[in-house]
Order: sequence, then C-alpha cells, then structure tokens
Amino acid sequence: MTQVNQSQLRPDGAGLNQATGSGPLKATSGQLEYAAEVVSCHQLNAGTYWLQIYCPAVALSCQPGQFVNLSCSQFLRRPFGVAQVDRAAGIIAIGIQLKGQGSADLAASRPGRALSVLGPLGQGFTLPQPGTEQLSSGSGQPPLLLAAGGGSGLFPLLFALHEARLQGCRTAAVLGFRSRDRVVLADSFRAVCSDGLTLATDDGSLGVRGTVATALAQLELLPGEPEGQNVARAGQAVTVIACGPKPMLAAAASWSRSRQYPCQVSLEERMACGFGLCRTCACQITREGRTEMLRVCYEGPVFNAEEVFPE
Amino acid sequence: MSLSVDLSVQVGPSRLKNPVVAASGTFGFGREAQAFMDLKRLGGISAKAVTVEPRLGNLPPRTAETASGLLNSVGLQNPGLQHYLAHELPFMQSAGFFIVQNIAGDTVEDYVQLAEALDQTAVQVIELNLSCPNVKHGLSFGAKPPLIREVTAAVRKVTTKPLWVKLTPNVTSIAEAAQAAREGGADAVSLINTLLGLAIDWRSRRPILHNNTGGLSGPAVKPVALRMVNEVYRTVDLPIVGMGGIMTAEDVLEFMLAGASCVQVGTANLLHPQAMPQIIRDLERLCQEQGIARLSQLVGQLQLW
Repeated sequence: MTQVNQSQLRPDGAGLNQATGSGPLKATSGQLEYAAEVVSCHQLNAGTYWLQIYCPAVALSCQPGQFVNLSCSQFLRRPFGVAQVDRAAGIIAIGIQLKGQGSADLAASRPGRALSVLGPLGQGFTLPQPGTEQLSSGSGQPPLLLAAGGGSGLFPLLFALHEARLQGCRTAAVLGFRSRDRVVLADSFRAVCSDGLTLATDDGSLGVRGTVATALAQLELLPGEPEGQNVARAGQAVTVIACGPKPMLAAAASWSRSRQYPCQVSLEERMACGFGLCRTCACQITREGRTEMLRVCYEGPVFNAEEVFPE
Repeated sequence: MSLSVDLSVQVGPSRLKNPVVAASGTFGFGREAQAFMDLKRLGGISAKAVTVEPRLGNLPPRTAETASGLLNSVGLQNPGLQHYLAHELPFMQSAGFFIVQNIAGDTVEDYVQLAEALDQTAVQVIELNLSCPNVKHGLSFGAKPPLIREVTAAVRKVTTKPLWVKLTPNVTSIAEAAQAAREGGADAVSLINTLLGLAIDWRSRRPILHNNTGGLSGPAVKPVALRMVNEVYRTVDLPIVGMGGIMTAEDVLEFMLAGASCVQVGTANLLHPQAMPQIIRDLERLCQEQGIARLSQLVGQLQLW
C-alpha cells in the first residue's frame, strides 16, 4: 500500500482507485443525481470564478479527472471538471470560465443556492503509484507527475496534483495563460507542486513568453542543471497529464512521446447528458489501429494520448 | 385507503405494464442506466437504432442547446446487426424489460434483413425508424407516404412481431404518413421524431453541429407533437405511441388525452437520470388523486371546443 492519508479514504476503504480500473466506472451507489448547495462563489479574475458546492456523496467518491454536470438557468446542465475536494467537509470546488448564459448563471450563485449535481462522472486520470514505479524505474526516486494545462483545463489538474502529492509522488505543472492578468490559482498550484510550477503567457507578461508547448520545450531533462530547471531526475519515472485546448493537448502528447513518457489527455466536447446515454459527446479514438467513436463523458474524458493523437 | 390504480396499457397486440417507454437514441440498450435504475419498472425500452452494418455516426459537435430543447446529430451510431445480436440483445433479454427494437436502413432490403434477423428473437416490438433527420436517406423514407407503405408492407411480410412505424414530423401531412403506415400493416405509429433544425455560432459563422442540421427535441416540440398525435388519432384508425418533449407525468396525461396509447420519454432522460421512474410514480399518484382507476381510460378523451 502506498503512502495515503487515511482521512482521504472512505470508511470502507473503497473509492480511492476506482477510476484507475479498466472499463467504465460503475455507479455502485445506484445514484447519480444529488441535491446540493452552494457554499461560496468568488471571482478569481475578470472571467473566472471559484464555486464551492456542498455535496458529500460526490466529494467522497470523486477521483481526479472526473467531472460533475450541474443544473443551471439553461435547459441543459453544464459540465465541470472537479478542481478540489474536501472529503471531510463534504465540499467540492470547480472553476468556472464565463462562456455563455449557463456559466454566467452559475458564476452568479449565492451561498445557499440549491443545485442538482450529477456525478462523479467519467473516467479520471490514472496517477502514478510511488511503490511500484520506484521499483520498476530502479531510480529510488518517487515518480513525477507533470501536469500541463490551459484555459478551463487547468482546474482538474489541481485536484490531480494534490492527490498525487498525498500519495507520495513528486509533482510539477506547466500552465498557460493569455497574459499576466489572466493568471489564476498560481499559489494553489505552487502549493501542490513539489518540483516547480512553470507559467507561460502568450504576451510574455509573466513567466515564459509563449504557449504551454513553448514552456514544455524548455523543460528539457538536462543532467547537472540545478533543481527546478529539471523536469525530472535521471531515471525517474514521469507521467504526463494534460487538459486544455486541443492544440495544447497535441503539443503535450508530442512532447511526451518524444521522451517516452506516458501521457493522458482530458478531452472536452459539447455534451447533453454527461452519463453515457445520448452519445453526442463523441470523440475519435484509435485503438488497435481502428477508429472508434467513444464518449467523452463515459469512456473519457481522460484517454491515453496516443489513442487521441496516433502517430 | 388509497385507490388501486391500473397503469397498464394496450398498444395494438402488446400489453405494457405502464405507458412509459424510453425513446430510441436516448437510452442506448439500457446498459448505462441499469446502474441507477430498475429497468423492469419501465413500460419498455425502445433500444438504440440498429443498422445492418456498424455506423460510426457523425463527427462532433453533435449537440447544440436551444430554448427549452436541444438539437442532436448523432447519426445512428451503432455497432451493427451482428454485434447487436451477439452482445446487446442477450444483455437486454437478461435484463428482462419489454424490448422495442428500433431499426434503420438505407433501402427497403435493409429493413427486411433487419426484421428477418429479429423475427425469432426475444424482441417484443420492431420499431421502423423511417425518420432519422441526421442520415442521408433518413427523411426520404418518412417523407413520402408511398415509401412508408412499401417498406412497412415489405417488413410485415417477414415478421409476425408487432410493428411500430416511427414517423417524422417534417412532412406536410402527418395523417397521410400515418395512414400509409396503417395500409402497410403497422400495428402502431410512433410520433413524433425530431424536428429538423439549425443552430448557428455567429462568431465563427458556422453551424454549431458538424452535420450542419440536427433534430430538435425537448419541451420546445411538445405542442407540435400533441397536435400531430391528436390529428392522427382523429383521422387514422391506428394506435399511437406519443412522444415529443415529455418531462412529467402531466405531460404523459396530455399525450394520452390527445390519443396516445403509450408514450416515449427521451430528452428528459438526458437531464434527469430518474426521470422515467419519477414519471411512473407521479402517474400513479395523479390517478389516485383524480380517482382514475385505469389509466388507459384516458386515451383520446380530449374534448375539442
């Protein structure tokens, strides 16, 4: 058993690694929809909000990379990757980027607002397991989880990095923003990145000038460089996770492939139900040389990068 | 002491334990929902359309939200007849619900082949999808009464299973379409399928759906559906499976008053996983409150002004 904070486990010890198994997650509780309540909602910057929701059942079982589908003022629900979980308090947090009327309505939530929550939905990230990876890499180093994100894609990465830290992994992140005034949650990410947080801005107003791809390219493994410049130590197992715009995912996949790091990407698509019924959130996945249309909400949102971006 | 209510309904030769059937294309083959619902409580499930060959469906985006509804353009994504017979049908059989199997094709021969393959199976009703708006030939069958008659009659010859013919509302006269289905030997007509629509992203100057157009469903189409159900009920002697925007038990009562013998619930399933079990519970409660001993008494009881 890896180093796990016992408070993170359900009383029965279940739930911790459900999302890492093969095949769609089965709703063991027999319930998918929960009556929940807004705890707080505050603005992070001009177009971004942080919404905390009291929903103990989802908080208990949600895994990094999974999402919730929230009722709002519009006809359809709105899907959000879970950004933070406080299991003891029964609270989940999501990041909202203003896109249309649905996100604007949710961003205007006051404490006490009743929400219907579907979740936790989809297949999350498979995080490295320190015990086994250390043995296989022979480096004596805990594995490194490197997260690459941009746009609304950065939110679920925060949960993944936090969970990986708890499990004893090393963690690092590369996050891209348009400009300095768009940067959000930098301190929160810094707190869960043991091996450094790299920021990139399109206009160079903060951190690396350019995109996440630019910043990744500068993260070459250079033996002898001072710690902090290095994404990984020699021989260390590295797992890459990415969430954000498709070109960014492609860049993270390509960067990872050239270094033979396993990479998982979390996809977005317009969806209706969020739990596998309607088949509208289709994505093209290549498995064993064959193209399949799989559901972002059910088989995904997290897929192995090579299935989304085959060579 | 509360009144005992009989929710069962008769649709042509078929007896359903209650009038609430999952609409094809919104419920898969029932696999996903079994995790959070007792499928046997439903009146039945109209399973996702099956075609002779597997279909990958349309490219995304496949859905766009509208006022009180949504457009979809899934494009009949399904694993094809062989996979269906080997994997999906055995699952549905073991799950034990009333199976309505929706079938779709490009030609009369496709429909005949599918119906022949289903004739000796556990499928309880074959629903002919003559109306999918999201595939090349979908509307061409459903929009022409002579073709509706021809394909229904051809399928009628190869199977003794009850036939429900699912019609498109994208026609000049729904009554003529229903009459053609009756003449072809249908046991019921399912109406309405989705209304053809277009959603536009003005910023990109593109349709939101990759297929350009899609089918509109949800409460937005309910008045159109009720009107068509009632029109067919008054002019064609054939049981009706009513659908279009049903979200609540009250909606079910309205469809039955308009002339539907049973209903299908589609879009509501996508918003509320428990929509159908809730509707069934509410139907029972409403009947108790209103002193309705047999729900099927209501069929066609709408009194026009």
